[in-house]
Amino acid sequence: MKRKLSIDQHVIQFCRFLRENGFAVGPTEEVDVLNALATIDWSQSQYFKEVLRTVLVKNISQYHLFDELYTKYWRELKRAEDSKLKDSQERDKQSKAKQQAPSIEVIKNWLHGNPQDEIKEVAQYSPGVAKGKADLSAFAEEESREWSSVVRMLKKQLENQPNRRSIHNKKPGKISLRPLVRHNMRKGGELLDLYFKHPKKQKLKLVLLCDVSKSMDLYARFIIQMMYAFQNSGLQIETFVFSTSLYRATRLLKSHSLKKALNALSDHIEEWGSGTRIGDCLWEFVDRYGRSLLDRKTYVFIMSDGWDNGNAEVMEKAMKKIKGNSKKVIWLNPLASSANFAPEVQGLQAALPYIDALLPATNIKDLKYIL
Amino acid sequence: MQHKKALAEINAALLEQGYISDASIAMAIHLSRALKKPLLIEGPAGVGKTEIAKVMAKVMTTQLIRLQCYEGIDAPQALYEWNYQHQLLHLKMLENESASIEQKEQQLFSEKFLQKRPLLEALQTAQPSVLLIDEIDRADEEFESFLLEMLSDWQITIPEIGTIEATSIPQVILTSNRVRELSEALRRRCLYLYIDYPTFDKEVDIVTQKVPEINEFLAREISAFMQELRKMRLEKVPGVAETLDWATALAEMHFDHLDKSLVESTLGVVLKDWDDLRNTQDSLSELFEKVKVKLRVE
Ligand SMILES: Nc1ncnc2c1ncn2[C@@H]1O[C@H](COP(=O)(O)OP(=O)(O)OP(=O)(O)O)[C@@H](O)[C@H]1O
Ligand SMILES: [Mg+2]
Repeated sequence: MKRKLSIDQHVIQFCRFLRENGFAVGPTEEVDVLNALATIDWSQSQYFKEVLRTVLVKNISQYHLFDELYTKYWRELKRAEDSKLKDSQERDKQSKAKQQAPSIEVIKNWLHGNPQDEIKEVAQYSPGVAKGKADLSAFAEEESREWSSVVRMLKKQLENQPNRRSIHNKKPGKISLRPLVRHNMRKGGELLDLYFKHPKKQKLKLVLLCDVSKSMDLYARFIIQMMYAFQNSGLQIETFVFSTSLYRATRLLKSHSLKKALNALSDHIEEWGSGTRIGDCLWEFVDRYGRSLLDRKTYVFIMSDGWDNGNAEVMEKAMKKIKGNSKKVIWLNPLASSANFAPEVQGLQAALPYIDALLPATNIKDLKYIL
Repeated sequence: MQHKKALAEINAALLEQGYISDASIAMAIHLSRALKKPLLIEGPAGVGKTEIAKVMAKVMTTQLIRLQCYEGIDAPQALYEWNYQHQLLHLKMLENESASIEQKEQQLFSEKFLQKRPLLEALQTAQPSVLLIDEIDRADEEFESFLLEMLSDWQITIPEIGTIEATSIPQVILTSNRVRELSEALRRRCLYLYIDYPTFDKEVDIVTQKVPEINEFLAREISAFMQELRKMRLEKVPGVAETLDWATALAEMHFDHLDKSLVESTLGVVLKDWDDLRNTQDSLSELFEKVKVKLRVE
């Protein structure tokens, strides 16, 4: 027997479904939807959907996701109605487990790879950790301390740039009228104390673009820790990973534990350890996010070995755009630390003119050294 | 149902003002009025975000009050400012008077020296206005949280005068080009509308609406051309504003169709970036083929 849900129940259930998919939908929004539905003849399904979209979507990525989730909600509901409840629950469970298993495998493979042993020692921060068995999700306390000190150093280094916002005080500078009036009034009208405007320290903005293709698997541990440490440092930062396509990982990395972040990453990103099309991915970044994320206050970090099987022209175009719209472009290259490194890789060649600094980075010590 | 008419009415009213709307836009406007929530509009440059507020003020036959945000804008600049020059002059005049400091202070910080800025103005209109907070993403987080507070309390405090409560609550529209991501809190306070570049049909409608003297076929050609152009990798993707500039220019010169040399000589109206212009000129034949196909399909 089908049990039909009332429209209110649908709304509540759909809101819950969105919540599970990362939407910040709470009781306020639920009430808003119900109120909104009361003002419209929603018997036409397209109006119903439009009301839900207008009230529940709050940003552009949700906007792009909404259609898919809406369809999925009704499809799953139908499926649940069609078959016996128990059956469907079991199937759900199974398919969920199936979905997760392979992607975690993929990321693990990428994490551990099967590189020659001696290089692996160099690449890992702590050679003491047994190869392959290293539990990457256990973010060793010492390491985590080191990472915060690196982030702190970075912050300090980059933060000392003046901007247009002002601080008022008595150090000589541009005269500031507001405090001048307020304070001198107390002195009966004589302009005794002058107040001056001073530039205020600037807020840092960072974009981190990390190559997670096959050729980078040696540095997996380092990259993941770096992304996690940066994203959770309190800096204003956006993190992307790429191999053959680009993925915005910011949301996935914001988490209380590295392990959770890692799980979220492996659930959402399918292309760990595949080929690289740096140019195309960087272009995708410029095209989709450049306008919103890049400006003259933004530092862009690219972590990649520069091995590219894409088009060098696109690479150059993307880099030019990134360079033109940011404060500094810093390329972290794991290969750059070896003695006989020359940036001959085609992709890197095309990018070189637009890089402010090309720095070696295979582990946290490198980073400390650079800073 | 009476409400059913609401959407159609909004569409019609917008059209009357020369604005081509669609289901999402009409719904967003309707609900932001019905639920009395601010409407946050995001989208690329030149797709008609700001225009919505202007048109809405006309539809509601009320005043449009605009706060243009910029980097470094702070609360006083958006609310009120003391007229420092006048205050200083007045202070000089008071110099020889025997009034007490308190009395002088009261004189100096009275409404006489208060210059109202858009936010204060919008709270004090007789009839609810449309308050456009344009390009909020350019302001910093501090200003954003100040706005958030105002949008929920509808009152502001001027330290020297006291608390001023809203006499009318404006219909608020915020726009953003996503230079900076806005806070979750502000987003949740608002309804959200994303406006993308128009579809082919919508763009044809906009062109014929805004450039009535244009020949129908040329309007379709221009729109198809713009659609294909936006698919290219451009430094600066042209918006509706560019389409309209181009259409107006061509219509004024009495052209009735596009050809290669005409496009070559007028493309500068649409593409403002030198590299874009050069690259597009280079692949013009290809682009024309695509436009032809597009027009056949549509
Ligand atoms: N749907 C539409 N109907 C009619 N005219 C439109 C429409 N969309 C855009 N326009 C026209 O396009 C021009 C640009 O619109 P507007 O200034 O509102 O864009 P915007 O999205 O605010 O851009 P920006 O992000 O650069 O501020 C205006 O002249 C407007 O009249
Ligand atoms: Mg605008």
